Amino acid sequence: MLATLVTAVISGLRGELVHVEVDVAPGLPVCHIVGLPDTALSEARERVRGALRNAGFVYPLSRITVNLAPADRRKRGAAYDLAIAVGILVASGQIQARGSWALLGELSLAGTVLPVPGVLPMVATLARAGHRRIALPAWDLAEASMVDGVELVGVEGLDDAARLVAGPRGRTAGAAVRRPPLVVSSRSGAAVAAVRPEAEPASLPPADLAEVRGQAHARWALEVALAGGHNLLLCGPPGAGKTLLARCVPGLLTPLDDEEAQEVAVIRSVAGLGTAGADGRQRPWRAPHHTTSYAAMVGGGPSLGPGLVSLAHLGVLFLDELAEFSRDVLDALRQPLEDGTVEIVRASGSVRYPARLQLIAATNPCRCGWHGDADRPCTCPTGEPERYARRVSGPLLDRIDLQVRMPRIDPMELLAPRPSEASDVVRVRIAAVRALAWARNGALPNARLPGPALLDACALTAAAAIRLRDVAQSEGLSARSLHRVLRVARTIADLRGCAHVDDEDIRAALALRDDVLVRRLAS
Amino acid sequence: MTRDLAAERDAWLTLVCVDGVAEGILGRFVRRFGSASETLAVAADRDADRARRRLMGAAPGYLTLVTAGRIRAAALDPGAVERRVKADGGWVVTPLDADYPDRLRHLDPPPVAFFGLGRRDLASELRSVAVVGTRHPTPSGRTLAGRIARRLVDADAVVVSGLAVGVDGAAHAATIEARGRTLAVIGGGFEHPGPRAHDRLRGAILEGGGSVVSEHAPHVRPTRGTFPRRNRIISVLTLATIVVEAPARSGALITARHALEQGRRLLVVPGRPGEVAAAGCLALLRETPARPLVGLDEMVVDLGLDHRSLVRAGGAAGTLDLDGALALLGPVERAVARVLHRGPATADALIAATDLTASIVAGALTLLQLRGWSQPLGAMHLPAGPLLAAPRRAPPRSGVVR
Repeated sequence: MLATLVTAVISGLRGELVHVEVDVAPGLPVCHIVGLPDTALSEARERVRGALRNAGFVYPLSRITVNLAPADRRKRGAAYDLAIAVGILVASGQIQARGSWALLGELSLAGTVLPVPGVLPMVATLARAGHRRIALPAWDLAEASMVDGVELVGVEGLDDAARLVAGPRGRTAGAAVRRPPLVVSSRSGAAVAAVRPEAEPASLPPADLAEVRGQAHARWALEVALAGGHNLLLCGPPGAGKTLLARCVPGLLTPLDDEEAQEVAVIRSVAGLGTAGADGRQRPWRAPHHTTSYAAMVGGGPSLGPGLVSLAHLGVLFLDELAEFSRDVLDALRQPLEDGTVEIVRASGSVRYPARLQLIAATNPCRCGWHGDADRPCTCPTGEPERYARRVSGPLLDRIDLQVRMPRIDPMELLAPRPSEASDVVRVRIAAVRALAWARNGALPNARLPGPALLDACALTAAAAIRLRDVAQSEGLSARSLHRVLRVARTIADLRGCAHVDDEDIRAALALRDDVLVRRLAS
Repeated sequence: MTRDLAAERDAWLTLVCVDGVAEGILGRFVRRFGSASETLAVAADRDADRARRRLMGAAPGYLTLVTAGRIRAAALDPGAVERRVKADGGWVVTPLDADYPDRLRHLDPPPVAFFGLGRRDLASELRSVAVVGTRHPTPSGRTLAGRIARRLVDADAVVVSGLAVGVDGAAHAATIEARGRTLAVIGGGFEHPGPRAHDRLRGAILEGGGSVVSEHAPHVRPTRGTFPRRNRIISVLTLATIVVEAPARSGALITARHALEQGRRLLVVPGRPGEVAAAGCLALLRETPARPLVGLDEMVVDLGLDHRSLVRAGGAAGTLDLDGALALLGPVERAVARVLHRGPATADALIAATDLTASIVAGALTLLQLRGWSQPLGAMHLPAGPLLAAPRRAPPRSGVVR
């Protein structure tokens, strides 16, 4: 007897429709899965057999053939388990399929339905293909519910799915009766929570700007960076407050809008991270350790999953100790910073993930950390600070609009601090400028203004134009640096509430574009 | 110079510039053969073997076969050194020349040849002062080096230093900026200039009427040992040496000790006890007859340079004094410049001192930087140009402390 069910697979950020055909025929009791399955999928036969038996169904002692169509596409993961199991139930006559349901979910041996990554794009694909009724793991329900116009049912166990497919009056072969109590307890939230993949890597605890002492210059630079979406590099001795300042960033970010929330949710879904924050509006914030590997940063691995640059899409990627990251990892950031996407090509296929992130980085000026300090001499040998700086390649530094030196904090500032503005106050200013820029630039932050639109958006005053021309000549600015100065100046003028970019904005922007690391030591 | 003397000088120069020939060997040659010219004549013998044998016989154990071969090669092509120096646009003097700097003769032995680029007379200038210090100064040390140099320019003195990064560079740069005269004594031949970071500074010294000099032939590479030896020339060429900042083991201390041994005056900037960058200076003050540098005006008096000063308001012709500079600025920039004039400051300190917004202060700093009146160093902004003029004194307190 033959059963056909519908499920889906993810490829990059898109879902693809897969038909699961199950044939149960007389013969030796074996189970074949055909259609280019990977290891996880081949092991599905063991999981399915266990789940069927432990949920109180009968595993038919017949020849079982499972075909995953289209047959030429390589299939990965365990999201087919549920469809295969239900297919066997239907094909062996244990239940009768009344409605057409698309099924997603991994099975445990106990018959519990476990969450799978990428539910959101898979559901969206099923919906587009006209499959309006979808059963999926109960834990993934919240994530999938962002898709409109489908009937979603969260199932906790194989028996739930069987009941659903069989309909209210369908026979389920007495499953509920014979189900061992173990299954019930294993499906209670607490017991299963451990099975759920670690949702979010531990991140830096957030801080408030009111906790930051001194550092007026760096605070201002951070405000400019967040208001305009500019990349920022903080450079200073140990204990200057670089990391503390960066920890304030999550509290200064504006929430995602509808469209952005959708994009972020899809990436998170594929990475198996569920929804972002309580309402899915939390702007991404990633702060990986400097030992992060290339694959973790860019994406890849056996399933060609998204990396940190994509998980930080539309949000902020904070790299503490920038110079300590491996060279490969840093150089891999260049494409995302330039194009806003990252393409991963492997022998097993290629995927493209969005990666429009804002980079905030922190570094010491040299190995000992004291180069350029007021009182404490740098103990590095001659040339070492320059060597340290060269660990971050020029093209990467070139893409960091704002580069700021932070001094050591004056101890008096710590002991008798002046009150400093709280994050709430600054966030309002940042949100206002972002909204203004968004409206003026056509849904782009200032940092992404393309060259032609830039001059119009800047509305330079005569004095500003003269200053820019003079500096470009005397300092030999490249076209790229010139544009960068203009973009930053636009943000500074916005923060001032000024429609025109004036000389003072240009000069302030120039003060933020110092090449912090390899700064000319003129004498 | 008679013809014999001229020939002897050229022979001398030829011999000196052969790799591996040290003063001791020269002395032996002269003792054996009578003069440098005679030595060259021996080396140029038609029979190469005999020439080498005789040379090595004159300095047994000191001369290798290779060096003897080099001497012969040089003898067969006399004048090669002079041609090379000329090709580099430089000059060379030997103790046999009239314009050999007199002060070099105070060394024992005096350098057998003295090479240079740029103005030749600076090395003989009597009103010259050495400003030396660590290669890793603090921002305030760097600023002070600049201030001292600028004040010396006002007193019409030549500023001598070693073209190293740090204090040396700050002194040279401030002198050029104030259109003063500066002399850089380098540790190798002038075809191998100092640190790469100073390529531009070196060009500026030569363009600005300064000079780069060395006791080494143009092609000689600087090595570990040549820098400390070079320091004896820095001190001997000047009437006084000023040590700005020096940690416990600094090359500047070598210069200081040479200065004392050579009977030159030594002024040392006193630092706070316990400060790393001041340790060497404090040791000098405690252990030697060095005098502390307590103020720029006092410095000029102590050095006996006060009877002559360039009578202009605060700088060499064509440079701006502090008031003139401040008058050119807008009110906001002037406020920042006034604070910066007091000494190096971070942007944060400037924001706090002026009560202006971070954005305004950043803009003002850019303007000062574009004009060359401020210079960033790490998170610090250093005063430069006219802002290096000596800070004004507070008016003296009335009354006498009993």
